[in-house]
Amino acid sequence: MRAFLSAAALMALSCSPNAILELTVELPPGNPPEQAYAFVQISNETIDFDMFTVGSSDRLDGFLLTEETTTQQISVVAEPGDYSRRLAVRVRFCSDPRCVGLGDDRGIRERRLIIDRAFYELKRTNFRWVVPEIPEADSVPEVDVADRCDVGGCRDGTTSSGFCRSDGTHFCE
Amino acid sequence: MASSLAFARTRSWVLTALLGCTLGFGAFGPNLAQAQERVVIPGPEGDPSDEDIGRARELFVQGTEDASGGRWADALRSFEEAYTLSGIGAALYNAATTLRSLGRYRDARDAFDQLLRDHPELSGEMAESAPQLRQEVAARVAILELRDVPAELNFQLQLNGASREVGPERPIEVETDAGRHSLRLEAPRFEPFLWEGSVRDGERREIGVTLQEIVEPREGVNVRLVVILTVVGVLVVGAAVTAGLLLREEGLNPESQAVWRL
Repeated sequence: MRAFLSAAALMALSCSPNAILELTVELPPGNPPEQAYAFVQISNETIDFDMFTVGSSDRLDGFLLTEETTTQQISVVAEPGDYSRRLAVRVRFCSDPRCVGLGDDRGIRERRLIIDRAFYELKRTNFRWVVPEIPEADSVPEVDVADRCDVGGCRDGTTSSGFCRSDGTHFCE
Repeated sequence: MASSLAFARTRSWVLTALLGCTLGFGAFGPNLAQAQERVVIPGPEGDPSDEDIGRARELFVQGTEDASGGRWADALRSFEEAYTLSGIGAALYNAATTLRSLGRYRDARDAFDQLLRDHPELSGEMAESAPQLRQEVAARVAILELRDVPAELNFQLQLNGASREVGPERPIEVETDAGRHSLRLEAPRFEPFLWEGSVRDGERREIGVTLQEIVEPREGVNVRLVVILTVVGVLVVGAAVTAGLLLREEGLNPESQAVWRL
């Protein structure tokens, strides 16, 4: 009975209100015949990108680059305590799907994104991040910054002044 | 700034060396007899052609300009390629000082070692400064000291995802540069040991390695009991999931296959 109640409680907790950012990442062509992967990591605990590490705990395999530009979608799921935090995203280009290939820790090729605010309770938001090219090895990573009004959602169609009302509040608020 | 000055001071010497490098080149090339030492930047496999020398000269000049402008990554690439094409010690010297400027002290130290080992022909300012710079960067190499790893254990070690060879000495010393690192030790019959953390320049960080043995199922387990417990477990979880679904507050479901939960 105790196991049953615990499992039921866990199940109920796991389905508590959330918010989702549908992040679309437009990736540049690779460099065939060499295999290259775009390894994406996301955090809302820090925007210090030096705190990102690669390793066995990585939750998402890298996306294989092709000869053409590719588009990948990642659903970023946030819990209530996460909504107001800034979101840090980085994509690292590596020879291994988890960036742990020989030499992947050298000649780092990386681009970064900071989203000011991406989540609103029980709302599905979206953002399209375009990475136009694979950065030069060991170059200082470029950081793209997305304002809260750049994050789409809660309104259909296109807007000329982002996704905020005239008073500055987001359509999802 | 010190490195920029070093580049500026050595530039004329180096250009002279590059222009005259086709003479007696064999004596200047890397000493392959000591190949067991770490080679940070490989030299040419044979005598370089005039074309290679010309290209190396262009790369060297480009690298010097990049270094003067603080574009260290570009400078390093040029010096590495210049050395690989020509085998000229000056290119290796500048690559080593560039690695130092990039904070890659372990590579810088090994590049200076390679220079001092393979280029006894060095003279003048470079011959004087190389040992000093080598000593300086060696003092800034950080060391992860792994304790409690049994000597007889067969294992694999990765630092930041790249394999590291380890000798029989204990405790194990893993050299690295300042910054945040992840370390993974895998051995048969044990759960992987993982460590993540930051080290500073020249820091020696002791890490106690605790290995958890994977528990194998004991022989002679009552199969009937296992089946009954499994069935009961499935029923309990199924009922709990159903109850949870009925009790839950509605949340959103991800639209894509790739899901990242914060």
